[in-house]
Amino acid sequence: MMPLMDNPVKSADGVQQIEFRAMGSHMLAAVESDDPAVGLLLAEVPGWFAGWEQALSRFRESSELSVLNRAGSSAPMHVSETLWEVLQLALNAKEYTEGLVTPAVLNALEAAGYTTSFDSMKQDGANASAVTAGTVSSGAGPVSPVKIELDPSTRSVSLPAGVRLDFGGIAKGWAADQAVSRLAPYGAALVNAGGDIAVGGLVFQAGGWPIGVDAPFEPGAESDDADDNLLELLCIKSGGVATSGRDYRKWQQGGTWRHHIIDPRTGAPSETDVVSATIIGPTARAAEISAKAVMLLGSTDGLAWLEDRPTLAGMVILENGQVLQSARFRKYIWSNVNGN
Amino acid sequence: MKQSSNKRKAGTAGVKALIASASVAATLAGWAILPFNDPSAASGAAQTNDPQPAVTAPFENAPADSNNSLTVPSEQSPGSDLPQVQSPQNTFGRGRGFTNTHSSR
Repeated sequence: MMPLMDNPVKSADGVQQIEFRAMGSHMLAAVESDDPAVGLLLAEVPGWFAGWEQALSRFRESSELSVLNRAGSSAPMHVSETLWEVLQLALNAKEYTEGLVTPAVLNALEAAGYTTSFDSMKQDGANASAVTAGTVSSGAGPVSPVKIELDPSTRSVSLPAGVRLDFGGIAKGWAADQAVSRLAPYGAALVNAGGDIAVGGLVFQAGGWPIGVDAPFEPGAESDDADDNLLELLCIKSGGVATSGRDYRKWQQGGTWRHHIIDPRTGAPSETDVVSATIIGPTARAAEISAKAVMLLGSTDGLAWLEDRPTLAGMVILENGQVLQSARFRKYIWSNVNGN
Repeated sequence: MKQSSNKRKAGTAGVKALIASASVAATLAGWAILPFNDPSAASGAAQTNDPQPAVTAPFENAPADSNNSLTVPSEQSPGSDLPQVQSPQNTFGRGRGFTNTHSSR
């Protein structure tokens, strides 16, 4: 557990909240409650994330995922409940998106230059989103369909030879949902894991949480006032919101811009017209997976994909600045719900 | 004797009903003149005019608990028969998000 003094629980307007850094991202956990016991519970949240990161991070040599990636097909590896659960989620996501969102992209990510954590890449580079990562790579090639051997009776996993996994945003969405499920019994609860937001428990202020959708990141163009970058304001009573984008985690490789959204059909960073996609769904993990799928499909196919799924709503921002929304998205816009 | 007792009970119940009705009416009148209150918000009832999507995606069958299942459903309240005002007098949300979504950072 991280020390309380490093991450003080703050309280204002009937909401207690804690902010900290984990999984290479900024985290926020909040509960609408004046109960001091809730403050003590919130102080434990950084410790929850530290445990999940130790299981799921591909950037830590000692993490369970790294051990699994190194073990490969040598022998089935018994894994923790956390890794087992997220792996199942990732494999189900692959089915749900017909192979678009798959965890078996680590080789392709590294071929594109994403070899260390983005925080490390930023420290090595001159610009937050313009770091140089070696010479341009022709990529790892299309990600072939793979069969990962799972044995539920022993909770063991065996990866095919040469296959290595990266959970990416799925781990953050899953973690946000997990944290909210633990906080929700104590009041209206919200967890923002680096942009993947889960909401649960009582309805916040009997109306819903106001959640902003940021404009895509532009180096040097950020205002000190975060509201200047707000594209839309949503009203969310329960479920999740997540954004996937190629606006921030990007770098230059041999003079070519690369980013972390790998298209398994090519094995290279996606090249659709979508810069970022924000999805509202029944959970943060569902929203995260769907946002990545829409990114990879492009605006036309992505919005059609959303319309076919009644549990989802979303908006996309295109390369030319155009903003498109699915039909159901307007139901979640704050002014449409609350009239102010 | 028993009949008389029943009559007294019935009379008491009638008075209680009148008091209750008057109390509700007075409360509603009080709310109406307060600029920051509206019955639906004060009742604490969850706004369900726009239900959040249900879980249908295959990956939602994962063992992880859906936070949707933890959402407290709407409570019945004395004001639940009244027209539901959608503005919850939220102290946040006036052009500002409590928090924002964005690509991972």
